[in-house]
Amino acid sequence: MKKTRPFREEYTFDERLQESRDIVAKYPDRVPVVVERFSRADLPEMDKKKYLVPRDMSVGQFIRILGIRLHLEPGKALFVFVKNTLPQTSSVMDVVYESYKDNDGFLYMCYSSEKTFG
Amino acid sequence: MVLKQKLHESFKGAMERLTGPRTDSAFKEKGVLSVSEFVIAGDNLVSKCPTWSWEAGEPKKRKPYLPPDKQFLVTRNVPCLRRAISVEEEYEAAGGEVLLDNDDSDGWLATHGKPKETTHDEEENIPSMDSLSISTEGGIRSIPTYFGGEEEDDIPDMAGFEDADNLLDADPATLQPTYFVAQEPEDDNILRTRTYDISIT
Repeated sequence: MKKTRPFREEYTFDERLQESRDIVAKYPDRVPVVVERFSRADLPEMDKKKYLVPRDMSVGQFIRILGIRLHLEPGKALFVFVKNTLPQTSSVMDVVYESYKDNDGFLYMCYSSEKTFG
Repeated sequence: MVLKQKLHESFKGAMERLTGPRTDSAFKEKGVLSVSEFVIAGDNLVSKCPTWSWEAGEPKKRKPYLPPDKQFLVTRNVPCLRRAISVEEEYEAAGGEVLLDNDDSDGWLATHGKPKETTHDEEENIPSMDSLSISTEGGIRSIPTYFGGEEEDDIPDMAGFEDADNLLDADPATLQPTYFVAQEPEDDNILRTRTYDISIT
């Protein structure tokens, strides 16, 4: 699998802002989420990083979907961080998006097999 | 899995023998609890959430640095209302994953089916009056059967039904069964909940 560059290095701020605005305008019931692997995690890289997630979906459901996409073996943990904290799995994506979204309009999530950084 | 667990246990045991139980607080720096903090936190949890309780556990496995009646915390029969598999099924039912704008393999992956787009382009679905043309060819033709026309032969002759061959009363398919078979309904709407015991050690 090719090594992908971090989303924020691949595109300029203005490109990202434009894209998030367009996609939110087009699909108002979704939030744009960029999911990237924590660089030191021993997990596979995801083939897609841009996700359009229903606003009413819970974080737990989304993490579960990421787990399915990563083909995790049972018992292997998956932790998803937003701005270096673990979001509550019961919270709704809309709430997490509105409180943690980046200035460019994307919500950045980072996954790891460990529940702490460092 | 079992081997992994055993390895982990023996490694943990060795580490515990080498380092000894923590006595100084390092919660803020490392997020770990000292023995007294664990007991205080456990007491707090038990008083706030009565489903949790302290357990003594097996005497052989007791840790000497913890009070004998406060070896670990447990809460029993926590119901699991949704199983992971049902989340997957619902996900598939909702439409699964849909790729959008995937021109340069850098598109969006929409979860839970194709999202609704904003409504402005629905106008295109309204048929335009200009493009409607009323066919003038053919005119209006009468439908013969409505007017009792030619096809009288289609009326069945009742006399033919009185033949003995046409009687159906010996057909086994029409006989009442002599007993009824009880069948388990396949979907009985009973939610089978698993319960879990969770413990903190």
